[in-house]
Amino acid sequence: MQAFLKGGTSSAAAKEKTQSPGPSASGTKSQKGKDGKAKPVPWIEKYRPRSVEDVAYQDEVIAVLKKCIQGSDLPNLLFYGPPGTGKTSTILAAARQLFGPELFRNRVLELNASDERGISVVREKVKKFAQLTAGGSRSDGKPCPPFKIIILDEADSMTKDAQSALRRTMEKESKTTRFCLICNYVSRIIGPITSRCAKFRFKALATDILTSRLKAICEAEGVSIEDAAVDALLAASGGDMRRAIMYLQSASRLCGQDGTISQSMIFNIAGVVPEDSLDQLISTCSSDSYEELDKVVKNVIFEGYAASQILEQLFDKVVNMNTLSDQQKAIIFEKMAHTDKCLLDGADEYLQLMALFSTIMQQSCHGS
Amino acid sequence: MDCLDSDDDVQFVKIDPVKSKVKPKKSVTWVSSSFGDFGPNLSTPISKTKIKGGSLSDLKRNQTDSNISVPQTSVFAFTSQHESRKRPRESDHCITSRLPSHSKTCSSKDLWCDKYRPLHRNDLAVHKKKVEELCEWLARAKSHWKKHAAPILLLTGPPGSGKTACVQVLCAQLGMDVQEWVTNLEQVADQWSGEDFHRSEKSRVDVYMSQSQSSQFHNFLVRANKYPALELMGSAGHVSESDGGNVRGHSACHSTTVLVEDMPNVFFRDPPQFHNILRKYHYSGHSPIVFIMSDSTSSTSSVQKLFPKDLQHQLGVVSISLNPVAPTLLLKLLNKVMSQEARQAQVTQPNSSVIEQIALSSNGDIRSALNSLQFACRMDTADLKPPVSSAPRGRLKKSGTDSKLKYRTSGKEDVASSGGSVASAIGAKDTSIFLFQAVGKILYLKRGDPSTQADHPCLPRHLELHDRHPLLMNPEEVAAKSHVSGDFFTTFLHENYVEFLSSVEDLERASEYFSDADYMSTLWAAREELQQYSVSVATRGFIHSNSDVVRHDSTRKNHGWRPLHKSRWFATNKQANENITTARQIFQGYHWEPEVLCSEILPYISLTNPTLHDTGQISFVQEMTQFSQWKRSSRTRLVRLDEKDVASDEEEGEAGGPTQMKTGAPVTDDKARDGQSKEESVEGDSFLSSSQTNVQNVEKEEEEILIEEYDD
Amino acid sequence: MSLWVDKYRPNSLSKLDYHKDQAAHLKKLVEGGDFPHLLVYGPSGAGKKTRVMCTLRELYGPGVEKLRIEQSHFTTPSNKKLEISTISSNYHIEVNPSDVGHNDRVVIQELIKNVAQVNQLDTTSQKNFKVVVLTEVDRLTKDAQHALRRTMEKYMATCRLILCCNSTSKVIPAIRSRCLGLRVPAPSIEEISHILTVVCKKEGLTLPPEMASKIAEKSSRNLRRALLMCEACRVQQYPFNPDKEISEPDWEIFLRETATMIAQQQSPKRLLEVRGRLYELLTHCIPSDIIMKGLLRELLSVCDGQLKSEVVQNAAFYEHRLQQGQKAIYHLEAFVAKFMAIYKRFLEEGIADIF
Repeated sequence: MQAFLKGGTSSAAAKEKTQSPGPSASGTKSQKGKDGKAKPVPWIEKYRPRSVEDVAYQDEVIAVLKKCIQGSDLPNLLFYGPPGTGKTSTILAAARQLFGPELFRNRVLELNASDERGISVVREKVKKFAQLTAGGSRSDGKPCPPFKIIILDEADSMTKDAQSALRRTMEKESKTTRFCLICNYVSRIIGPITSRCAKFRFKALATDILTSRLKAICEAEGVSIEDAAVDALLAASGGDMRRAIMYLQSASRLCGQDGTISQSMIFNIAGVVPEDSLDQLISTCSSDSYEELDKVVKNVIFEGYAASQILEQLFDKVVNMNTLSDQQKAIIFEKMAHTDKCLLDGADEYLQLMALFSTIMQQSCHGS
Repeated sequence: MDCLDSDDDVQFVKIDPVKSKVKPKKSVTWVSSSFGDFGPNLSTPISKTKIKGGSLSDLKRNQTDSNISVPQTSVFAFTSQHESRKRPRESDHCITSRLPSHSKTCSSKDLWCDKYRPLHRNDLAVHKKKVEELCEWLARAKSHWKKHAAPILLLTGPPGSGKTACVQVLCAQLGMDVQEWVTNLEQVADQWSGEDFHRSEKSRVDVYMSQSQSSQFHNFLVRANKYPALELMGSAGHVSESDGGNVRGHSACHSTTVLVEDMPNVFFRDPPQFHNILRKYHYSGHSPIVFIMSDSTSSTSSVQKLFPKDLQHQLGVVSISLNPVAPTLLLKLLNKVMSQEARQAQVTQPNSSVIEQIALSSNGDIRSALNSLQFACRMDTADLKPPVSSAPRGRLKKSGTDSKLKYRTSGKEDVASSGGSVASAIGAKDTSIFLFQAVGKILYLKRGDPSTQADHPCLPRHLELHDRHPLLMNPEEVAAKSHVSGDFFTTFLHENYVEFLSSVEDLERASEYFSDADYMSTLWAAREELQQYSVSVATRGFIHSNSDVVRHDSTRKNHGWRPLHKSRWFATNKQANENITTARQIFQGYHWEPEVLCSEILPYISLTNPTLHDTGQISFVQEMTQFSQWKRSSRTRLVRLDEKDVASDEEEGEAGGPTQMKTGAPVTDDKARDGQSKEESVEGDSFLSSSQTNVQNVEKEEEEILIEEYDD
Repeated sequence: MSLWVDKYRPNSLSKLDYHKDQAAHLKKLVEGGDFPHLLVYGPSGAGKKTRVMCTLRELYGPGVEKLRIEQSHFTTPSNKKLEISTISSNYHIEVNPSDVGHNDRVVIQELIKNVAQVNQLDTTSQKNFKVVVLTEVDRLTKDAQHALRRTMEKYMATCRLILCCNSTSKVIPAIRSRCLGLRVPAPSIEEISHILTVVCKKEGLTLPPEMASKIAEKSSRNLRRALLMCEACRVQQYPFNPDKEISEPDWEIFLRETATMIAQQQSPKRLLEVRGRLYELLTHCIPSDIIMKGLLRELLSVCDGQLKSEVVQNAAFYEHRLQQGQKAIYHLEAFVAKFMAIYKRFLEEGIADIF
């Protein structure tokens, strides 16, 4: 998700063209202080944007938020979009800019809905926090909006009842509190709430943005990386900035200080199934031999690849297969959807994959 | 009016959890009355020693005076040692209350079921053989009095089948005293507000109560035995006052029967306690003791819980089970009552078909039938009666052609209930059925003739394969009446369905429906709602899949009567959980995941048999890894589902199995039913619904009675 | 004397027999000082736990091998008491949260909180964090997984998680993205037979190569199984006789017989018998999905190509039901009935073709 900032005091980040405004710099300082004896920080935190200007790619949202920050006011917000596009980073950065580093802790309540959900949470915690009064100035003399921000992450996993309870609270505390709801699917938020919020959609990040940011991080951390590995990162993360950075950091840990991050390493970390395994699977499907198929599928599973990952990659393959008619593909995709659901429910991977591939085998050998 | 008074007294003295449930909820006085209470009104020499409301307060006062920790007894024999001077007054009270009710001049407000209670053995509407059986037992108990361990009798039967009446009448005939235990809940209220009792211990009242209830019961039994002399004195005096002439002169061998009808509630919660008391009584007591238990589908009153088979065996408990009163007998009784009532001009006499309806709808419950009859005869309710529709009468005639009356059971009652039955509006019993019957109803399904129903839909040609004749019952209703959760019902159905299908194709479909049904009930949040659908899917799925019974007249192949079995799933599940827990405890050192432990480590340990394991480990490993072909005693043995088995603990079978699933002990010594099944097969009535077994029984007995009567 | 599986378990990263690259990576990870949360996944018997223990030893030294088995108690918000057994050393604690079923969320939160709040006693150790090893993470409820994700972030300063599971399919993406994923593939047949030979040599036994490969083949690339089998063979007969059948657990034989019964006759009566046997298997704690797979494997051997596909589809369908539903027997039986029907049709068609 991180559209991120390479601002702050770190020397590497200073190279970045982004300007580092005051609040952002002190924000980083506080981070450093907490870390004590130079403990390694997860890169996703380290490279989280410090100001809204640094959030990558979400131009419309940023423009609106900037205006809000200048006016020292915010509406209730509802951010939605795919994971890893910068939703949480944006609101955190905005809050930091609004309140400054000292007040930030007191003024912002971050609630993870999947951690503490339910009506009681909304009623108790949110209410309690919302009822605290907030002053209109901050220690460095700058004006500061006289409200607090409650961030409800993953709001779409809140129950309907909790959301209804929230509606009342939002109205009652509107003088002193702003709510920021973050979710992946806006359709799971009840109407009364969406109508009370300014909605912002976060787009999935474009590959060139991702590439440039990843490369910048590598430079900042002094990690050498193959170009192919960067592409692998992009492919494995699917536009999710957080995942990409996580993979990158994991890879750099594994290869140590002097190693070069290679493509296979990225694939390995991300659990991506190698091309040749996949190709073998597909070619076996046209052999019309159940025994062969059984062997190959077993092999893939023994290698420890996740069935869901296989499905994901298989999809791209099947879409581009010329040997199958559209109708056959439709049948296969339907089966894939079913398989995916079953896997999510916890069904056995071997059986599900066998069922799927025998469908494909059926289609490619006896279909048409 | 004295008799009314006594009724009222009875009402608050006697609170019977079982009975209050099944009694028709009409006016208060009606509810209060029951056959069980007719004792004090008998003119025959029974020393009925139930405490009346008048004396209750006296008793209490006494007890508080003398600071007895067991504050209340409902039988004066118990307290007589403290208060022997009370005796005459009480007896007087009893007698005076008894006399007027006996006279024919009793007002019409009196309940008929009290008014026309049986006074003589010949009046009993119970099957002669059962009466004989009971009489024999009592006689034997009497003759062996004090010589052997106290004999115990368990008398069961549906409510209103005349259990108490039988005991009272027969004891009277044999000249035995009846001493009845009455749980008094009044005392509970007293304790709460009691000034003299543990003023500071309110918080412990609950504990105290339960202790006291059981200890009271214990004391009752012990003292009833310990001080027979005292008690005899009282009762002898009593008897001689009431009807001295009939008492056999020698009071020395005068015997007492202890009657327990009103089981203290504590024991339902804590059966072992009851078992201990009973055991103690058996070995130390003298008087025969009779337990009267109503059959009921509610789990709390399960007879099996209080009288498990092993206990019955151990204590030599004789069990006599009464059947519902046969409809012909009931009809005769009702007519007799009617004719007697008619002599007192003020009743409107309902026509005979109404009486027949009442007899039928009561399902063999005399009490309920009499109540209904009285209600029907009231002037002011006469206009409530809908005109007797032709439909039920037609059906009556039809059954009349078989020269038998039948209770409406199985399919018929459901069809009829829509057709507007008369008497069901007047006090028809809320029929609940045993799990056994319910499962049987689904398995031995019957279909109706579609030609009798105009709106039977016709399927297009390509779907004719799925055409089925209409069902004679509503599966959802059957499941609901069994009073178990849908999930539980389905497991029982699942355990038994296979035997009722003959082709693999049917199996395939039915098993798929069961799988669907289970799948449906998984969503936790919507479990309650979905369970209903899940039952529908399972029952109707099975019914539809059964291609043998597509038409109403299709003949079943080789489907005679078969035993039904209890579901093994819960037992299996429980056993598996236990095994896993044990495995993990015993092999704590090998910290493997339970699956790996059970499917890999243990089997191989048993193969390699390393010497490091102690004997406990080794025997467990052997148990876990060897299968039944080597070891005959399989733990997942089938357990027969008994007719009157009640699901005692059905909820959340996933967590722990229902306790009623006693895997070890087969519960199949119901000889009556076995014999009956033979009879059925002789008759060639191959698809007789097992749910009808009870009724079938009644019919047979009824035939026998008729023959006897001809002989007379 | 203990089982070979335990006796010859490597206890340091450098002693691992296969996936040496990975071992090297792990070593670097430990040396780097920046130790992330780990998600170790791979098929059963591939050596996940062994790797985890080796890594822990690398982190803390031999102190981690002093294990205690304890019972921990937790109370749910609804006041239900939970008990779970944990295996712990001074540096780490291992727990299988799926033991407590639906209440796993409470256990995870409380456990990690407890661990995180207690500081490392041994100050001489370089590491300022403790490790919580959670096994069978794929069996956690979704609720618990979400809770886990939050907890992971919250207590990052004082504790690290090592999660073990068979497949990441059942782990929510939020957790996957917060952990360094370590895939542990099953050892190859050659690797297994090599290890068997080495172990036998250490025991002072000679294992004929053909015997080693035979066991390796039979173990279906499960090293734990292979070692157990080998030990069982040793007990039964030594010197090893490569011609002799490798002994199997009773339940596998039982299951195979059950499959044969199904293939022999398709009738309601047979189904009842099969049901009895299925119950027997379930009572012996054989997981229902293993029963399903075992049945399938045996049943497929009597089918031909087209039929196989159909049977597999059904097996997958009912296995999914099995995971979702509550009463495994319904679904196992439905599968058996389905197979009977399919197979019967197949046989009847075959007969029709002949005439």
